[in-house]
Amino acid sequence: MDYVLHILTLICLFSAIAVSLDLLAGHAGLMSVAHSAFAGLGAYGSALIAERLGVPFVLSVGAGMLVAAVLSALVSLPSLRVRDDYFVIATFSFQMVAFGIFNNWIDLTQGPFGVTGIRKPLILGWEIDSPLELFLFAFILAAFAHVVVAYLTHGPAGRVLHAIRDDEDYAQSAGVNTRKIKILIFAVSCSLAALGGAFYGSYISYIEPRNFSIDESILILLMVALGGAGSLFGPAVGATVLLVVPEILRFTGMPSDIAFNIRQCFYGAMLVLIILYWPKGIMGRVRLGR
Amino acid sequence: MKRLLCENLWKSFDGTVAVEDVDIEIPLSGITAVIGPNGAGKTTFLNLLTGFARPDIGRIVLDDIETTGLAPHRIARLGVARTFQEVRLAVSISVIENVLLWSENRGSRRGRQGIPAAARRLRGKANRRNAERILDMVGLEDHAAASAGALSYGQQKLLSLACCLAMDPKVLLLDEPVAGLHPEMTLKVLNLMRLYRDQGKAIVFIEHDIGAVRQVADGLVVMDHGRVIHQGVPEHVLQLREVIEAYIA
Repeated sequence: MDYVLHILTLICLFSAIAVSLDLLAGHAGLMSVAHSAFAGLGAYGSALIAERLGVPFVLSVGAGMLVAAVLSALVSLPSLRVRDDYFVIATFSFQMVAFGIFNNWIDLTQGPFGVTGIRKPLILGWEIDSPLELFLFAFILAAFAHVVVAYLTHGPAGRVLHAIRDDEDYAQSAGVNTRKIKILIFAVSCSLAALGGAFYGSYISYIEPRNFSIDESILILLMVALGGAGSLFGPAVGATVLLVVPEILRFTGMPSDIAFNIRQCFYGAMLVLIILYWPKGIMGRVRLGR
Repeated sequence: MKRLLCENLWKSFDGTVAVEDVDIEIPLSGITAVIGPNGAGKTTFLNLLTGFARPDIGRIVLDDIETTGLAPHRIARLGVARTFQEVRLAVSISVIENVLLWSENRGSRRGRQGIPAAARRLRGKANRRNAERILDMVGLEDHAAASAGALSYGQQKLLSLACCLAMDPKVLLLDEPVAGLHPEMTLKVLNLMRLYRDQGKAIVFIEHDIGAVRQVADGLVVMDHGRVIHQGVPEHVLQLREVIEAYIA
């Protein structure tokens, strides 16, 4: 039962991160391959602030989100002049720099050894530590991320985002300050990813750079592509499929290092096949990144 | 009199002059056509007026407000709506949502801040009624819920025009509004332009179809090689030898 709850908790956490990427890539047309870096900023930021400053869980998570939102401006401010492929390259560069910092700034992040002993969430004296409580907390967090994304993608705000995605010049001619909106939506998306990352660190109690590598960013992107960009629950469906399939591989008795490599090949092949033959994924409304 | 003033506008791209010393005054009432052969600089001129291109030299003044170098969205909020030569829309959202987008983003940002929720809801309802009225006016009311990308080319051109009308701009800038339309649709667009003019608003449009220009234009600007070679009433300007030669060449 605990194993099932663990998988469900991970599905909720990855759904929250994937739906935050969908806000950016599916709804605003800004394809990013740096989302695990922003989740990592939330995880490291929250864990280190809680550990070194003794700040309560909620405040440390808020600080982690703030760090991610502020640093998102490092990507968005200079790179919003460029579009499409060049924006992807800018986010890729940020991903590599962030990973380099997680891995090499040993005084701060303890490098490849990672940050250990991260405390479980403690809210108003209630320590959330049983598998069921942790799952419920992850579920609430995923629901919160979905509500934020639903709010921002419906009504007037949604129209603005979708117009930017479809044709930025058209949106500008309608009176939309596209530059400001893109910076804001990038910050919101990255801080939601940081929220997922912060809770992931607290849930697993240990984070290391590999948790937030380009492989993980591709995995999150694949969740959106498979589930369907621009649909509220598509990323959650993608997260479910992509977290359950590797678990099935466990029961084949395959050595874990081989299973890991097969999983990476499976993710890469799937991303190529989806983009070529199934661009709207399972329940998507638009092609990813347009 | 309210006017759109262009003073000594110059614009070049990689050494090629696209707009050269354009110095004209367009009244903010009536319909003004801009004609000229391909490459005359008409679309660049429109891009300068709407902020999609920045002049190298010169200034643009709209109704006593200088708009030179302002971002396109700021110029739009000052009351300048435009269409593009190739139809540009938010194709993944519905027809009525495209119109609502333009209604909701018109006017100054400051004017929309600090409005109580109840007033925002009322404004939202008013915007929707306005969008429905405009779709009815252009004949797209039956397609309100359809995706904009699913419309025919002619219907998309009508929708572009409807979006601009939803903004209730001071001046409407149209880039070849009847190009590629069948005669019935062309008539509809020209009637809508007349209707808008009769409300005391201004339209500036680029057009190659001289028949359409003759039907609706009150004033005419002729461009060639980036320069304005003539400006006046269409009946007079269209008979000038220099204009005919520029067009035939």
